[in-house]
Order: sequence, then C-alpha cells, then structure tokens
Amino acid sequence: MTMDIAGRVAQKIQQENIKPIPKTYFVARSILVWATIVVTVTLTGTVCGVMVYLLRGHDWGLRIISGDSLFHDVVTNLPYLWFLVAVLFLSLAVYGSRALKRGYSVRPSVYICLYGTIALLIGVAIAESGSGTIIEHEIAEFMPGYGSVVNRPENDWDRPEMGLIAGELRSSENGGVVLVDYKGHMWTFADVNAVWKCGSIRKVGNRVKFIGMMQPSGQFDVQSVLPWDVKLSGSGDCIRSRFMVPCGK
Amino acid sequence: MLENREKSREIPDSELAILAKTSPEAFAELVGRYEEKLLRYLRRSFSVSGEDGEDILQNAFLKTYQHLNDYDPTMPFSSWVYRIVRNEAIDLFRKRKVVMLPLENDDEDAMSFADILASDIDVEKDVSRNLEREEIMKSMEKLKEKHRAVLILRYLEEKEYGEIADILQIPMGTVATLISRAKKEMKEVVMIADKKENEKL
Repeated sequence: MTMDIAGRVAQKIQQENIKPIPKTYFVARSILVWATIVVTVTLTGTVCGVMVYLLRGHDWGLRIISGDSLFHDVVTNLPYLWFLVAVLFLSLAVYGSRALKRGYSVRPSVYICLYGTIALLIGVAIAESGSGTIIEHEIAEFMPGYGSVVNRPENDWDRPEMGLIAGELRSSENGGVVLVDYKGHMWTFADVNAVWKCGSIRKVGNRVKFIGMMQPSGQFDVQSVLPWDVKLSGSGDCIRSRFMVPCGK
Repeated sequence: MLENREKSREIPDSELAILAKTSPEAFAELVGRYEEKLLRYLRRSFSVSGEDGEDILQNAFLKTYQHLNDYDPTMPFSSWVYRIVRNEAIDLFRKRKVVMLPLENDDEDAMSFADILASDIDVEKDVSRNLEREEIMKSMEKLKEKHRAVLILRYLEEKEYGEIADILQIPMGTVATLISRAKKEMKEVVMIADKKENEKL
C-alpha cells in the first residue's frame, strides 16, 4: 500500500513532466511581499501624518464659544475615517509579514507594535514637514463628500450661526472686506476696522477667522478677526482679551 | 544501485531535499522515508480513510516536489513536509465540508499516548475511578481542533516545540500556551465525563 504512493508520485512526475518551480519565482514573490510591507507601512505613516495634522489643526479652544463638553469635542473630532484606513494598511503589512518565510514565528502583536511605531514616526515627520496638510487638502479637493465624513479644521469655522466664519480675504477697501469661506460662499463686511487681533493683517489673499454674531436680519457682526493659524486654545494675551460672552448666547 | 540506495539513506533529509531538485531518485527516497509516518499522522489527526489519505499524501508530495526551491534548509525537512500534508488535508476537508472524525483507538501508539497524556495532565487524582484508555481517546474528540492538533503532534508524533511551531505556523510561545490550554481542556472534559458517569451509576 505504502509503496503505491511513492510509485504514483514518481509516475505522475514523469508522466506530467512536473518540475520544481524555479527559485526565481520564490525570490520574486518574496521581493513582492517585502515591497508590499514597505509600501503599506509607509502609507500607514502617511495616514498618521494626516491624522496628526487633523488633530493639531482642530481648534480645541472652540468649545469656549460652542459650549460643547470636552468629551463631545473629542468624540466629534477624532479622525475615524483615517484611523480605519490606517488599520487597513497596517493589517495588510501584518498579513504580508506573516506570508514571509518564518513570518509566523513572530506574534502579530509584535508586528503591530513595530509597524505602528515606524508609521507613527513617519507620520510625525510628515506632519512636521507640512506634507500632511498638503495631502489632506488635495484629498479634500478631489474626493467628493470628504468634508462631510471627516471633521476638518475648516469645518469648525463654517458655523456662522454660532458666530464663526473663516476663509480667504478677496478684497479690502475703505474699511470693508470681502471674504470667501471654505465652501466658496462670499461674505461682504462693510466695516471691520477695530477688531484685527493677534497679528492678523488685512491683506488680500490672507486666510483669517472671523468671530462675531449672526443677526436675525442675516447680517454678521464681526467682533474679532484672527489669523487662520492662531488657535483659541492658545494662551496669548491677544486671545484672552478677545473673549467676550459666548457668541449667540 | 543498491549501494546508491544505501548511501542515500545516510544522507540527511535537508541535503536529500537539495539533491531532489535534480534527482527524482533522491525525491523518491524522501517520499519513502515519510510516507508511512505521514499516513499514520493523517489517520491520527484527521481520521481519513486509507484512500483519502493516499490521495492527500500524493498531492502533498507533488506540492513538496514543486516547491523544493522554496524549502528553507535551516528548518527540519520533516516539519516542512508535515506542514504541507496538514494544509493539504485541511484544504480537502474544507472543499468537502467534512467534519473531522473520531481518533482511531486501535492504534497501539495511540493507546500508550492515552496513558502518557492521562498521567501528564494528572487527572487520575481528580476522578473517582480508573480511566479507560478509550475514555481518554474519546475525550480527545471533544477538544478544540487546535488543541487536539498540538497534543497529537507533541505526544503521538513526538515533535519538539520548535517543530510544532513550524508545522502549525505559529510562534513557539503559542505552542507552549496551546499545549497548556489543551491539557487543561482535556482535564475538564475528562472530569465532566466522569461526573456524568457517576450520575448514571
């Protein structure tokens, strides 16, 4: 009975002219797996860079105006979509590592920690270099509906009913300015002379934040103008002094 | 010819596997070394019929031959071939959607395995009567598949932890954990069976 198997195997090899698969195939496969791991870890790092930008870009001091609790602010501003994308890439990297020769001898948790740390370092480097911002902006521009899934820093300031508007100055003449917000709406303000703070410069092309109050008539009364990069969570005197009562309350 | 065969028997598996890439005779020698062991392993692990076992083994050996260039000589050849056979068996079971059958207990080795396992899990002091070997073997059927797999490899196939890790493609630390959990589960299964038996009496 057992002799049969050896005979059958030898016969089949001979009859069907079966040959060992060339070594180059396995080498190529190994290279492909390694490349997949490198690419997916790098992509995870890039996603981390975007997450760092989103977390740092969010103005955590805004709850002073919105009246939201810290918990609500955190829950609504965590970048869930990007987190899921990072998990997906990281899973692919771990899956690839397990497909390597002896890849199984390392626990998946070790791969997760190792690749997670590498991705985080790449992410911080990307965020520091400003690439995270560029990538996020490019995606927001080309992916329809992105802004409704991810709470972007720009979204925080697209709440005129709460007294928050931000955008780019398009003209500045005779005390009045024209601002185009991040959704492309044009706002015209007749007189915003006395409220430019924290080094905000009234110059066409500058990105600024307006804090004020929406009147029942639909007119927006500007109380403060801040440069886009200045956060309410900052501790500068110019910010502390600007705080009035929460807008609309 | 006979002289060559005698010589080839002295060659370690890993070297024979390298020779087998160019020499069908060397591969035939490897098949000869493992077919019996692997058939027994298949019978013990999956309780496959003789015909199925031979089919699995034939396919597994053909795969082994085709993948000889992927063999890592730093790993024992036996671990590699056991892994291929195990994966082939699992594939067949998945395709046919067949559940694993009870372990055969007419195997003398299996009987001594039951004795070793019974003493190793130190179950005798916890049950009210002497356990029959058949009861131990029956309890094995109730274990989770992964627990059954490690116990068979450890106690019946007498594999080292490192070899079990290579066969099951899991970290070595996990092998130790699985063996420990398998023994614990085995003890629980045996004690439940003992309790039921006592209630009947």
